[in-house]
Parts: sequence; structure tokens; C-alpha cells
Amino acid sequence: MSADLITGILEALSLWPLAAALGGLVMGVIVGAIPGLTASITVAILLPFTFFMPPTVGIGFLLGIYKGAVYGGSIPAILLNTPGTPAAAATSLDGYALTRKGQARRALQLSLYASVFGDLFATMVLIGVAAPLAAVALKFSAPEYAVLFLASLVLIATVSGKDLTKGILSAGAGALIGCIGLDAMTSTQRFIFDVPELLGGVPLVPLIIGMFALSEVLIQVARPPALDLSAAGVQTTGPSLSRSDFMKQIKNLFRSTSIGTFIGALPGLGAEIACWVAYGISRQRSKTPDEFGSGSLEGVAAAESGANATVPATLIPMLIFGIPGDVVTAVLIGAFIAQGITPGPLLFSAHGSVIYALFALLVLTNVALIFVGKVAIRSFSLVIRIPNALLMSCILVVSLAAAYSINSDPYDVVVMVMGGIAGILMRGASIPIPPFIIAVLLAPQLELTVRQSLALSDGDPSIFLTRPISGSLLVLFVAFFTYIIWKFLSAPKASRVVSND
Amino acid sequence: MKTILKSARVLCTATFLAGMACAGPAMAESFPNQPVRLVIPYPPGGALSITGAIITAAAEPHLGQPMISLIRAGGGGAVGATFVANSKPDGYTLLLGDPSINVIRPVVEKLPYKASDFVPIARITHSPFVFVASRDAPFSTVKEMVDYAKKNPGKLAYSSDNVNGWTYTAFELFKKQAGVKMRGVEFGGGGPAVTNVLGGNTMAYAGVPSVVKDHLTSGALKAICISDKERYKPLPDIPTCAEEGVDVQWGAWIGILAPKDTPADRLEKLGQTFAALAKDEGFRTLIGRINADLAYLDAKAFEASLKADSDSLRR
Amino acid sequence: MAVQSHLSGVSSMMQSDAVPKKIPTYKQIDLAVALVFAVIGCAAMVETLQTSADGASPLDPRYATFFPLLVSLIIVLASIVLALRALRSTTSAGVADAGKARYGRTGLATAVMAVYGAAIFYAGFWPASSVAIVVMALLLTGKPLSRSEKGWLAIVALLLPGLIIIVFNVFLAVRMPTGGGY
Repeated sequence: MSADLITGILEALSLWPLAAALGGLVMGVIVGAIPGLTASITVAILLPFTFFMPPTVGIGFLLGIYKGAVYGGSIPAILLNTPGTPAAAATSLDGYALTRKGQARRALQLSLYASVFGDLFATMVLIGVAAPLAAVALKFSAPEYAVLFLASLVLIATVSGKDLTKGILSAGAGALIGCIGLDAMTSTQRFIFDVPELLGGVPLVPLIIGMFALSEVLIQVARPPALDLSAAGVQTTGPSLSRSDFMKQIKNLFRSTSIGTFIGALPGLGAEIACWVAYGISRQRSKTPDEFGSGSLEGVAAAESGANATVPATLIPMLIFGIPGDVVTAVLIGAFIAQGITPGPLLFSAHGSVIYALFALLVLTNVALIFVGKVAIRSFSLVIRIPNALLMSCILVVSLAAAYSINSDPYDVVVMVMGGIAGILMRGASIPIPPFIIAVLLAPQLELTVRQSLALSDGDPSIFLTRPISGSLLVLFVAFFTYIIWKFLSAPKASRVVSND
Repeated sequence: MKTILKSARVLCTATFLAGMACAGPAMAESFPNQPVRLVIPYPPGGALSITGAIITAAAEPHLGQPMISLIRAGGGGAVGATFVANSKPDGYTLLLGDPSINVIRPVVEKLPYKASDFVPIARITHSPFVFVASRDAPFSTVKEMVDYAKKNPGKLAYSSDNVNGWTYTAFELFKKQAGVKMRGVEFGGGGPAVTNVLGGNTMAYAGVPSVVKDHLTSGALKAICISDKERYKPLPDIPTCAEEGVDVQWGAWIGILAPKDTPADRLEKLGQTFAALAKDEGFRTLIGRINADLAYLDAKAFEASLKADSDSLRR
Repeated sequence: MAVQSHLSGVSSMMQSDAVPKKIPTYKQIDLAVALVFAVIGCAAMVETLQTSADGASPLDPRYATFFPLLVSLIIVLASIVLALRALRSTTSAGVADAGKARYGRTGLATAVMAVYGAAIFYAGFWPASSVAIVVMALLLTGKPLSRSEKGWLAIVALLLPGLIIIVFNVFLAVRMPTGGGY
């Protein structure tokens, strides 16, 4: 084993693997920063090129892109309220509010440090405890996932802002959207209305870009944002992040990172979900929950560290069992297999040095991200000096181009435009958007896992309690839920749900 | 304000003209003179899309033009299949199909396309299914599994992928031949299905060798039988299901199909491309690496095999 | 969210100016929302029940119809709660900050966006995008443009789509539509 380790590290330190990993990182940050382009598309498109490269170069490149993209999405999320990738959607809530208060630099820097922190922590977990963690992950089957999804959905309550009823309406609508398509278990066609494209459901990336980015552009037509302009009439990025600012977030960072690592390690869950869970829980535990949504550094730190921690974590089930967690890991498995390396139980014994080389590259790119991120921040910050009108219209065009580029499919463009329209309508009616997105992500999964659990138990609902893990999770959840409701009911009436402002 | 409008108008005309100049390539005589699109009807990362990626990567020298993969996933393959069925039959849009999309589903489900909407060009791979049991399952051979199922009807839970998918059909055939009742849990894909049988949440699964091989070697899964006419060369110790008394012969193939009215000469050219591809060393190496089984059939043979498949299913 | 707090902040500022235009009140908006969602919920229920084939009881959680039914029911219940709350509220605060004129511009911009989305495929990506950049920028800017600003707008509108085409073509092997249908 240690022979493999040494060989691996030495291999990682040679020219081509390093260049590929760093190049991938830079490319990933750029791709992530462009709304509509994500790690998934890029990695899927570049996959065939890696067939003819040595594994440490080809796969190192893809891993670099994956890491970079999850971070990169936060930059436009903060500066323009336009998440570059779905993983940055939660970041835009408080990130953009901070930009409007003239604090963009602090938000961007915190986002970078939080991302690096989350990534590094999870990489250490990957390297150190992958195998036992993976064994635990294997014990998680449908009932456990069902309880986890149920608990996550409750977070909708915390991100509904002041109006829980509208939050529920929003989530309900999201859940229905999530049901569109072919039901996974029985292939029943739901809400298809004879439109063949709907058989595949409503794709998430164009929907998010439409609801966040496009609606923002369109709303600004009616009401240009009150941005903090310096005397020169140019928007400033504000003061730098101070040391104490960062240190105050430490506890939050550890908590959010652990959440992100845990979620990433479960096959099937990725950064798009983790960012919301970390954000919601951090709000729950915060001493200043009302700041969330109007410029809370805590919110930014939680969302970013949670999201970035999933990147190394999703590699855990992938490497140990060959089980993909999301599209990117599925493509990575393909990349490995095409190299003759089969992820799974025999991986370390058969190809130890390659894997250790990749681990080394992961750590190196982690450190590199700090520098790449700083450069990216400086370059992209120049963007907000462009007159807002021009900038926003360019965003419009780039977003639609990117939506098309996902699959060269006009359908994605249509979804994006409709998402934009829905976004404006919802904002006009004060209906919160985050619950909608969370529901689109989680509701179909919740339904699927509940039905799978019942299929496993042959219709017996007690399976949720009789299985040890799901039973204990369920008990914890009920306890926590009761606690929240009790807190809510015992709060003074004035701070409860208010009908109008 | 007026000046803005005027300059905007000039701008628009200018850009419009510029854009027209970038119109697509003129219709030329020789085929192909544009890249050919291979539509992949499943999300990226699965066996089919990896095979597709390898095909598109290796096809260019034989085709004369690049082959691009176009992902149109959804509806268990229905979205992609419908897309190709409705596209122009000019030979530039092809489907990477499998039995689920092209044989079973159009018969069993109400879909926007029919099996006859496609004409086969070449079959690339074909793999039999290996029926496996989890390490702690109370059976290790076909006989034991059938006995267990007979004694506990409906209790044996196996991992399945999607209704009318590869694994689903394999088990349906098995259950019919053996006369037993077993309960399938649809996990939506090979990945979660394997996870669950590895974790002991379900007792059995049926998958292609590339997916289960490593787990068999490590002992995490036990092999029950293989659904083919003869034993599988890379795994010669696994008996065929027929040997063990349950005659299931069912395999998963991946092949190329074109929309039905594609002109014959273009079909011919495409057929030649894939025939050459099947002999290409680089291609064979890559296919070997993903442990897929190259089993090339040309258009005629492929068509015959498809017909045989659908006939046997009707029975 | 940030936009909402901005909205409410400005509206309370505007209330003191007693804008005389006819603007929808929060109450009216909430009622409209409740109505729309109630309709959506009922429609979803009807549609779901229609697809419930193969004799399975829609109330069985194992089948595909249970979950959409449950969600539609929740939506309808929540809309009723919202409607009741709106009817009982006594404030007549309105969405006062901009009045109809500006929202009309959003409507126009939305129409532009939808037309642009279609135009990409029928007129080609480059011409449609250049036009869209110009039109959207004009809609977004609140004031007339200076000469240099117009110049920049023209340059960006002409070049950006071309740049996108190059980048996407080269790095992503995506060919943007050049007109004449998909």
C-alpha cells in the first residue's frame, strides 16, 4: 500500500497531471461562472477526449473541472443574482443582497474561503475514512433516504421568509412540476398532455437559470436595482473580509461542511441539495435568523461550504462501490472504466497508485483554488463596472445560449423562458422562490423512496420504524419537528406570520 | 430618442444581414458532408452513453465526418427515440438503441413512436444477463432460488431498474419460465439497484457482466446463472439458466438505428462505417476496457435478430 | 428575499405620497394568487384521477397517482387559508412603488424575451441575439444613451453573439442554430 502511495504522489507531481488538473480547475471556474453551463454538461462533453490520455491526466482534468465549477457558480450568484450552477442558488439569496449593500467583496471572499474550507475538509474525509463511511452509506436504502428527504423538505419552512402559507403553495407547485414525466416505478405518464418532450420531465438547470437570472433581468426593467455607487458613479465592491469576520463563521463552517460531506457521500444526492440544507439548518441555528435573505454572511458561508464539500464526498461511493452520486460522478465512472480502471471493491488493490495520484491532485487543486479564486474574483468584479443595462442584456443572451448548449435542444430554452416568466409572477405576488426549487428537487425523490420502501416491505409501512437507521432518524426528525413547532407557537404573536407588510 | 431608434434600426439590419451570411452549409451531393448526430436516449454516465461516447470518438476516420453524440434523455429512452423517429430521414440523425426502447416498450406501452419507425443499421454489443444473489441470500443456485420463491411466494425481493427495462424484463422472463412469484423493487437504474443488492436490502439482481463482475470476484455477490445459449467465456464457471432448468435467453444489446425512410444508399454507407469500426483496433480496445462484448451484426442480421427477439417476447 | 424587502421598503415610503393611480392592493394580489393556485390544484387532481388506470386505487401510496393527489390537496387547502386570510385583512396597502407604467415595461420585456427565444431558431442565433441585446439594453436603461454608450452597445451587440458562437463551437462542439427552424 505505501509503495502505491509514494508512486501515486510522485506521479501527481509530474508535469502533465498537474497541468491538466490546474487547467481543469481554471476551466471549471469559468464554466461554473457562466449561467447555464454546469460541470455536468462540460464533463459529459469532454469525456471522449480523456479516452486517449493517461488516467492521471484525463481524470485529473475532469476532477478539476468539477471542483472549479461548483465554486465558480457562486461568483455571478453574488454579483448578479444569477447562480452559475444550481449549487450556487442558495448563495445568491444573501450574496446578492450583500452586493447591493456595497459589500460584494466580503461576500465573494467569504464564498471563496468557505468553498476551499468545505472542499479541503471533505477531501480529508475522502482520503481518510472513505471505506468505513462507504460501508455505512451502503446500509442506507430507500427508507433511510425517505426520512432524510422528509426532514429536508421541512427546511422549506425555514426558507419561506415570513409567509409560510405562500411557502407551502410555492413548494406544492414545485412538487407538481417535479411529477411531470414518466413515473420512475411504474412508467405511468403524468401531466404529459401529449407533449413528447415532457416525458423526460422538466430539466432543473434551465429552470433555475430562468427563475433566478432571467426574472432578475426582467424585473430590473421595471425597477432598476438600488446599487451602492461610489462618488464616481461606479458600483464599488466594498471593504475586504476581515479576519474576525471569518473566524466568526468557524462553527457555521464546520457544521455546514459536515452536512455537505454527509449528503455528498449518500449516493444520489449532490451539491444542489446540500446548499439548501446547509443554508436552512444554519438559519435555524443562527443567532440572527432575520438577517438571512437580506445579507447574512452566515448564509453565504453555509451555502458555499455545504455545496463544495459534496464534491470530494460524492467520490466516496463512486470509488468504493462504483456507484454514481450524480451525473458528474456517473461520467467520471465512465472515464475510469474507459481507462480500464473499474471503480469498486477491487480498486485500491488493482490500481492503488492511480487513485493515490488523484487524491494528491485533489489536495493540490484545493490549495490552487485559493489563488485561482482570487484571480477570478478580481476579473469578474470588473464586470460590475459595466453599465447595468448592457450587462443584464448580455446575461440574457448568454443564458439562453447556454441553455441551448446543454443538449442542443430548443426544449431547454423554452423551459428557461417559462421559468423566467414564472419567476416574475412569483416575485410580483411575493411568493418565495426557494421552496419551489427545493420541492422540484426533493419531492419526486421523497415520493420515489417512500414507494420503494413500501415495495421493499411489501406494503408494510412499519418498515420506516423497524429498520434501525431509518427508525432512529425518524425519531430524531419527529423530535426536532415538534421542537420547531413548539418554538413557533410560543413566539410572541407579532413576530409570527404577518399577512401584509 | 429618435436617434436611438434610428441607430437601432440600422444596427438590426446590419446584424441580420451578417447573420444570414452565416447560413448553414449548402446541400451537397456526397454523404456525409456534415457531422452525423448519434442520439443517446439515456442520461450520461450509463453503459449506453459510455458506449456511445466510444463509438463517436472512434467513428470519424471511417465515416469521413465527425460523429457527435446528442443526449436526449428522459422517459426511459422515449424522449430520444421519439426525437429520432420524428427527425428528417437523411442519414444525419441516428439512434443508439437497446431492446428496452426498440423491442419491448413500443409493444407494451403507449408511446409516441413505434418499433417500426426505425430501420436497424448495426448492432455493436450484446451481453447476456447474469442473475446474482446478495451474499447473505438464502440461496446460491437456480434450484435453491426457485425453491425459496415457491415456498415464499411474493417474498423474494429483487432489485429492478425500470418497468420494461433490462433487468425488469430479465426477471419477468425468469419468473414466467420458472413459474414463481417474486417481488421487484424498481430503483430507477443499474447503480441504485446494485447498491441495494450489495447492501442486502434486496436478495437478487440481474445485470450485464461488466456491472457485476468485480462484485462476483470480491465475493460480495453470488452468481446464480447466465441467460444465454452457452456459457460466457470470461466467466466460464457460471452455468446457463437453461442448464439449470429455467430456460431464459435474453440479452441486452446496444445498436445503431436510423429513422425508417432513410435512403438505402446512405444506410449502406453507414453500415460500412460500422463494419469498419468493428474491426478497428482502437475501438476494440476501448470496448474491451469497458468490458462490453463486441458482437457486431450487420443490418440484415441485426434485423433478423430483432424480429426473433420480438417474436419470442410475444410468446 | 432581497427583492421582496426592497419592494416592501419602497412601498411604505410611497404610501405617504398617496399615489392616485389604480393599483392592485396586497389583498387583491393575495386573493388572485389563492384563486390561481386553487384552480391549479383542482386541475391537477382531475388530471391525475384521469390517468389512474390499471384499476389501482388512487389512495394507495404505492401507485403513481397518490402523491400528485396529496400535493394538489395541500395546494387547494393552502389557497383556502390564503384566501381567508386576505379577506380578513383590513389594510388597504397597495403595491405602490411603481404603478402600472413600469410593470408594463416588464411585460414588454417578457414578450421580447419570448420572441427572442423563438427567433433564435427561426432567424438564427446571431441576428436574433444582436437585436435582443439592443432591445433589452434600451428597455433596461432608464435614460437616453450618450454617443459613446450607443457605440459600445452597437459593438457588443454585433460581437458578443459571434464570440459565443466561437466559444461554444470550439469548446463544446455545439452548433448554434443558423435559422430556418430547428
